[in-house]
Amino acid sequence: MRSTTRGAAAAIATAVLLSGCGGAALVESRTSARRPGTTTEDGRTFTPDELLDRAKGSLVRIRNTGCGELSTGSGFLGPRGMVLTNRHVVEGHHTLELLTWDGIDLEPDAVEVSDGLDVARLHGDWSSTPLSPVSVRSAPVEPGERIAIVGFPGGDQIAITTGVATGYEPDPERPQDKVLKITTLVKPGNSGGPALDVRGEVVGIVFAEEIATDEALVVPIDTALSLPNGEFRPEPACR
Amino acid sequence: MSHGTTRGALGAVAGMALPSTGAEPFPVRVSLAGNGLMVESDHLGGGGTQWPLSAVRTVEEVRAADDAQDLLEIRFDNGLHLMLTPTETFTSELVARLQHDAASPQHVVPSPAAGSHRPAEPARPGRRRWLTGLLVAVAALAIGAAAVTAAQFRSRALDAEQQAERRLDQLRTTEAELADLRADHEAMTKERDDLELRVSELANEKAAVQDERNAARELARLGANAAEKMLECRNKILDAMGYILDDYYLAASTALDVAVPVCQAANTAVAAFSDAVE
Repeated sequence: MRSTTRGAAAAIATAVLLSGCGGAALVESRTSARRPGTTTEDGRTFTPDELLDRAKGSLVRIRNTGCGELSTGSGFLGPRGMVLTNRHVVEGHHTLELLTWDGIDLEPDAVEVSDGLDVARLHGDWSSTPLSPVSVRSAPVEPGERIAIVGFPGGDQIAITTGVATGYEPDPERPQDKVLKITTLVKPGNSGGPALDVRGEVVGIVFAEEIATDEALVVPIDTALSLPNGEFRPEPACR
Repeated sequence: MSHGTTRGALGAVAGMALPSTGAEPFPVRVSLAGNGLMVESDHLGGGGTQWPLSAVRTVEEVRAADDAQDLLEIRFDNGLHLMLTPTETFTSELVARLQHDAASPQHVVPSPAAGSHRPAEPARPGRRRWLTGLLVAVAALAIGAAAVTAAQFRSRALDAEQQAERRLDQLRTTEAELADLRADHEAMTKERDDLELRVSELANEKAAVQDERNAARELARLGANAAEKMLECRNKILDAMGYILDDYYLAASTALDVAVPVCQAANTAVAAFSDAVE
């Protein structure tokens, strides 16, 4: 059986773990915020640094404090004014705080999670915030495409990693849906971050790492966006 | 020597006779007849007078201005001269007869341009000379125009070269300014990148501090929750002990039944707090 690890939200060194509130504490590691640029395939594509510059205005670091646990993940402002992230990033929260790459604090008005997919939607009035929505790609990703993953690995500074799409496979929790595999290492804290193609368009939401192959698993964005509202339920704050 | 029909009378041409005596010029009609010129005029009594070709001193073509026909001036030894409006045939025949018959060098036809006595040479037809002159004039004009144009081109080329030199200087200046601006831009870009990196680092530090603050708050919340539950447990136990001291054993038993879950919850809260502290 394939082994994957979820709950990739990073446990901070000062995190507290309480019984009754599950969650794997994963060791954080610090990475450089910048990577050397690479050449692009044509004039309309971007280097990793350029992708990071374009995407960071859409990105948020999500802090989940609750149930005795403090964890962090990533999210991004997608279409229809919703911040998209993973369910496991926001589950069991007592307080949920968002922080932009340049340190501006935001707070969602409401949180919804999907029981079927590891997807959550955060609602709020983002129009008065510096957040800008990232563009979404409608065409499916082809194997061999270069993909970049942006987020806050380890709850640390914003960072980007790149890899290549190797194909789709059934979602471990919901086999009728497919997840995208990317040949790049992700860390706790990357959960909920966007996977981008070389044009800077979102192709999916990072949610796990396949331990056997060290590949990132991504919920395709069209799958996440095509979920009906009925698939989502409110995720109240725990007391 | 016979010249056949060429020696006969030739069609008359009109002209004016200019006497040497200062008398008024009078119109004449002149034709070639034998070895002379037949000059007819009312001023000569209505009849004609034959003037021998040997009496001809000079024959000159007088170029007319503009488009007027050239005139032929014939001077005689006696001072009389005729200004005729000749035909080509008349002129050529007159010249031929003069060359043939005249023994004197006086009978040569001088060049109109020279205007002096020269050895006779075949007179060219007026139109041809006129056309030649025209061609020469046109050629001269063309050469002149070409020279002027060449001079203008040289002048323009010089101007253009000077202008190009000025532009080149401007270009060098602009290039230098551009290089400075580019260097400034690169420096500012680097500065902006550095600042953004610093902002990101500060945001990260802020996030870390907030994380610690939230963790401490959560710890405090867990501690307060454990303390509250422990206090509640203690109160329940004290209630039970009071009943025991008062010998209300049934009530004490009931109170203990109530205290047990409360104290279990308190234990759980304390354990959670202990785990969090660790």
